[in-house]
Amino acid sequence: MLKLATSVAPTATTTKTDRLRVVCGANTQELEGMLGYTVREVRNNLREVMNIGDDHTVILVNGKQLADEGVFLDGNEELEFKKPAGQKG
Amino acid sequence: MKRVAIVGLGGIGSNLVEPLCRILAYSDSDNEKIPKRVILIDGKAYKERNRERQKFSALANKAETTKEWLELMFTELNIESKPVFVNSNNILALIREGDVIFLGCDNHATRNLVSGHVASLDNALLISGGNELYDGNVQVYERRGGKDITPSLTFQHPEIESPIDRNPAELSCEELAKAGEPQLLVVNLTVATLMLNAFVLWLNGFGPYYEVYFDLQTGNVRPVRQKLTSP
Repeated sequence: MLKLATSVAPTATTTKTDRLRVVCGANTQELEGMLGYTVREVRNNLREVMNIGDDHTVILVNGKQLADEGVFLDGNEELEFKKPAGQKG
Repeated sequence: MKRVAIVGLGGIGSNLVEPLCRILAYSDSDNEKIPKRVILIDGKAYKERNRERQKFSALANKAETTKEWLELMFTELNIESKPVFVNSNNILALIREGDVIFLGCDNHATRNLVSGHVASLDNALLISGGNELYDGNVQVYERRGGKDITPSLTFQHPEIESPIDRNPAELSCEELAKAGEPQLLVVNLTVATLMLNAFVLWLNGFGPYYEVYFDLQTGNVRPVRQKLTSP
């Protein structure tokens, strides 16, 4: 399982059932122990692994669009960084 | 549904058009949803440098040259060509009520224009595909009885809602002649196949997703599902 590196320690105790599903385009990652991380932290840490670009500006948590990347996660959501549509053809 | 309009006959469109015509010409003739009239729309000409990726028989206008070889293969279909770029002045005449539209263009400005026009129609099916070097997506926008059955192309896609590229109709000859960024045949083919998949599902009454992403590097394909709404 991928473990994120962060400078901000989670403030709550993680549980065995914490499982955050991160989606970008066709790809998904499932991560444990994400309780207390912000959306921004997840983006920064998965930027290269999941190819999350700065142009991925639409963010969905459990299908609902989010305005603020500073929101803390409870560790059991589906977090999607909506991939822009392919431009070429 | 009376007609199929194919907008863009480049890497995606030129590889999609023949299997699509096979479906239209030889599928279940009792299915009233299957149109027999095909409109090919593109204002550009084929270029030799694209031969590896695009299917063509002559270095001439894409719509006209594609019509020439298609109508020899598919005498069951009525095939027309419109050697123009879709723009705000001609879109009313080119894309009409009841059309099925396959959109394989190379810019978001045209996607925005076509999606906005489809939103004004009571009934239409728009299947739009696009790619980057190794990945891409297909979106399915259906209108029925004056309502959105699936979301428009701009839904959760600000790059289509407010495109920074330009409609080819607005570009100079020099700008049009510039080589685009590299693309891969297999990626264009994947987009074309997923567009045809979506069409066949729709013909058979299935509509579980309105968007599908793919990534050739990871081998993943992910549909974006939506609860179906009734008109």
